[in-house]
Amino acid sequence: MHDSNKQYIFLVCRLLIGGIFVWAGVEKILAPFAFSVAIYNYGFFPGQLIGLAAAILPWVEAIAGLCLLAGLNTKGAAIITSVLLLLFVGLIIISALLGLNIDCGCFGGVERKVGLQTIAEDAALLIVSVAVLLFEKSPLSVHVLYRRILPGRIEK
Amino acid sequence: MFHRTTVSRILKESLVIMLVGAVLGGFLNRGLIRSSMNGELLTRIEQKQTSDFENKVLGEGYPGWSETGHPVEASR
Repeated sequence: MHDSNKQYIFLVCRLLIGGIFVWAGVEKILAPFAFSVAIYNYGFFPGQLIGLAAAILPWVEAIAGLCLLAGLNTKGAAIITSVLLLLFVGLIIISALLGLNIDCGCFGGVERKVGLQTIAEDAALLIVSVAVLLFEKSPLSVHVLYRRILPGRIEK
Repeated sequence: MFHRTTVSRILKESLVIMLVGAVLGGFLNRGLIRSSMNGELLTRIEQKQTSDFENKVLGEGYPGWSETGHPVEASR
């Protein structure tokens, strides 16, 4: 496949992961209590840290997603989305193995039970996110535009 | 695959994103964090779990349990 065609595919992957993370982050930001309940249901977090995780995680997700959509700090954002997805897949697998019938909490208050479907979806997103981290070099990004406008200001 | 300086730049970028998220989320949800630290959030979550369970088992709008521990019939 031609190199520029590949870059279009990775651009679509970047926008897909960015869009999903912005959506997931905003859903959780709008319903912090529902997200706290979802974290509590996993049973892995100490009670005092639930609020901290419910407060910070959605914002990190939303900002990483925005960076991917805009093409700003793309690789840094892709590392965050990959690590978070790895964490989510691990948590969902453990919960499914323990036989917990709970909401995954992936999209705040939206009901989505842990199970094979959520594992497969999150694993697919993880693969796409890692592909963005390793191969995405799209010229359609704020970073590249900035470098074109002010050459020499951002080293490659 | 990545050069050492590139790895360090990528890690710095991700650190900036996490820091901005932590500052924004921590500031805007300071009430949630405070209630979590003093155990209030946990109490609220447990109360919600109990009421959700009662609603699921006994039906929406069920008034709950009597003092003797028996379910109270909903008035029609």
